[in-house]
Amino acid sequence: MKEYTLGKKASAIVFHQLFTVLTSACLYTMDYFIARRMPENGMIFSMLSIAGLVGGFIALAYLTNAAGRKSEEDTEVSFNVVDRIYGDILTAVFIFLVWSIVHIALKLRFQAFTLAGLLVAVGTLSYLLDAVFLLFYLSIVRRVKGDILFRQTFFYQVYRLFAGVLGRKRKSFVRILIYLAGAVVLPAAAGIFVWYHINWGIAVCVLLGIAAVYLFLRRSEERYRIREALEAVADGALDTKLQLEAFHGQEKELAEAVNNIRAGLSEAVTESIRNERMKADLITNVSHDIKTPLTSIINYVDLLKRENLENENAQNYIRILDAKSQRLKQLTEDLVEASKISSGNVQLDMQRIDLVELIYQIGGEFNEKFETQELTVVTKLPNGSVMIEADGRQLYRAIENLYINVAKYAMEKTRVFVEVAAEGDTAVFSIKNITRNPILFRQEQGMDLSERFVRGEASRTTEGSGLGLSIAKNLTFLMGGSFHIEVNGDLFIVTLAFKIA
Amino acid sequence: MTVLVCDDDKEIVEAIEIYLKQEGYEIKKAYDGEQAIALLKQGGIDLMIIDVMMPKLDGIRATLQAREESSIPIIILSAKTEDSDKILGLNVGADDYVTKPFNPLELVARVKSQLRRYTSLSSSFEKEGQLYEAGGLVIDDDRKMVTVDGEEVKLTPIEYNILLLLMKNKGKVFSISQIYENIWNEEAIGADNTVSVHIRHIREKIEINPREPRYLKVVWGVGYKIENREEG
Repeated sequence: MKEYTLGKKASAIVFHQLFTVLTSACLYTMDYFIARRMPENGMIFSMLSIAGLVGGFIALAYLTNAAGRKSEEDTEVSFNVVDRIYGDILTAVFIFLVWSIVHIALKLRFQAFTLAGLLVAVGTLSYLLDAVFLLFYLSIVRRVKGDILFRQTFFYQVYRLFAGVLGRKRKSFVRILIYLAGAVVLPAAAGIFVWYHINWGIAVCVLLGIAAVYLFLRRSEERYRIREALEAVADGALDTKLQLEAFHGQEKELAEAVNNIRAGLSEAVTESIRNERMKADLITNVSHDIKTPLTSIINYVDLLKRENLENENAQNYIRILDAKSQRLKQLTEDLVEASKISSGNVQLDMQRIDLVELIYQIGGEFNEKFETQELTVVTKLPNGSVMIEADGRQLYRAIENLYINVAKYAMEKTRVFVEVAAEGDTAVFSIKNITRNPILFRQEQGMDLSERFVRGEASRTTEGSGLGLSIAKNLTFLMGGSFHIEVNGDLFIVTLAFKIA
Repeated sequence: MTVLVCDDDKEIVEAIEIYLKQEGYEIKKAYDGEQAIALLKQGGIDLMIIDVMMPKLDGIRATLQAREESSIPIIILSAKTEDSDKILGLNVGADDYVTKPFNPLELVARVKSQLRRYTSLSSSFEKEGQLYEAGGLVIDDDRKMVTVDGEEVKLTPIEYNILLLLMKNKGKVFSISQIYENIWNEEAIGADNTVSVHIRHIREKIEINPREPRYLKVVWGVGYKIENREEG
């Protein structure tokens, strides 16, 4: 793809101007020599002027092609300030400017200049002429490309205005009359006033100018404050309220709208926090109610185990009851935990702690659990400490859940990689393992393993509540860390990152 | 020994009764706080297990009232698992807090432990030699003996030395490398899980529930310490 960068366009413009200046300078020099009856001296200059013409034409062709586009494939035409001027007005201005410059240029012939002085004057004029020409020509090219050559004209606008007025309701027709009065009658009156009382006119103009500048400044200042407030709201500062008395006109309406958005958002956030809290409370209460009968189930299953049951089937049934009631217990505990954490209902005791020490400590807790599954833990830790700001107990719970996950889902007799690294001002912890069963979820489907109850496999009969990663993620977020899961085939990677304190 | 069991769920009371009777305890049963206080006032009770959420008089208020009457060990048994619930329970005068659903064996172990401490402390046994104490955990460094609530615990020499280091500096947190340097007398270069594995083994031996240690606390990301708490 060929890009039309600003730099390329600018150099094409410069080339074009140089070639134009060269051409006209050569033409004038030829004229100078012919007037002094030395045509043989003019030969070389005629060659040069032709070269200048060709070069200028090539540059112009490139600019014509590139005008309004950012690259070859760019179909969107971008316009600039000049393009906003109505085409007919622009043409009038262009003709006027060209006429003025040509007028001066024609005079040059009859002035008695030395050759050097003549060349400087001719160069300057042709440079100006070319600048005006390029501005006009390229703008027209862009208009043609963007198909607005005719729409972007004063005559078209007036035509549309009248067409609109005839087709619309009277109210706006009246309004347009007032606008016309404002746009035509008042300037005309002012013009007549200025014409007859020139000094008064200047005073009025100065006053009007000051008023205009004041209004303009006030308006941009108010806009700036509205923008600031909007940015604050976007950043989550929902207590920013704009004082409406300090705003005027349109800005007042804008400020009011910003205030409304803020109020609405703040209400929605409060509502959602309350809902999450209520949900957490509900889950806690329900879990209390579940725990009481569950206690009896667990106790009596245990008592049943102690009865000397001969029947092999009965023993098997009891073993199943035992396992399932324990799982139910784990599920209720995890559920309460997860809902509490996701509603932010956790007391954090933030301290400076050593991530490396924590990993050693956790390693000690899990060492035998992993050994029984013949999982080899390969740890790569920095020699010194890596200090972060966190609640040690909650961070332990988060990482513990990752280790439990490994114990549950890693393939036996494989290696588990645990790593802590300081990358710049970030402490990164990662744990990688090979999963026993293929992970049946697709990231592109928008599923997220760290969502509550989302699990890497379809069946729900294996141990695990589907809450471990959700708990770990939410705890990490609460402590200001980041949490990332990556699944690459059977390789499962969880990465936690904290700012180094 | 008589244990008062109070819970509004009859089946739970009966299950506890079965377990404790197997261990040779006498049982008295109550199904709300008022009954429990009434039975307590009659006397002859050595320990009380009480539920929190009960009709008439809840476990927290019952515990408060019971403390006016006697100093017997009280174990709160509750479905409420929040830290704040546990702190509240221990603050109103309970000696231990067990959450439902509980492991029956763990409950029995806690009952035994509370009773041993209660009786051994009241019969002021002779203290001789160099003793280090933290609650029910006692190290007799002259005889190289560790007891928890009066019951001896067998530790390996390394485990013993680690525990002794922590007991001599109650309340102080030791990092893994500090423990390593103190016990092995060499610099800890590229430490590994050795120390933390030993610590877990010690916890498994001296704690009823190693996941919720009473004595050897883990300060995550910092180190290990023996809780320096006053008798109570």
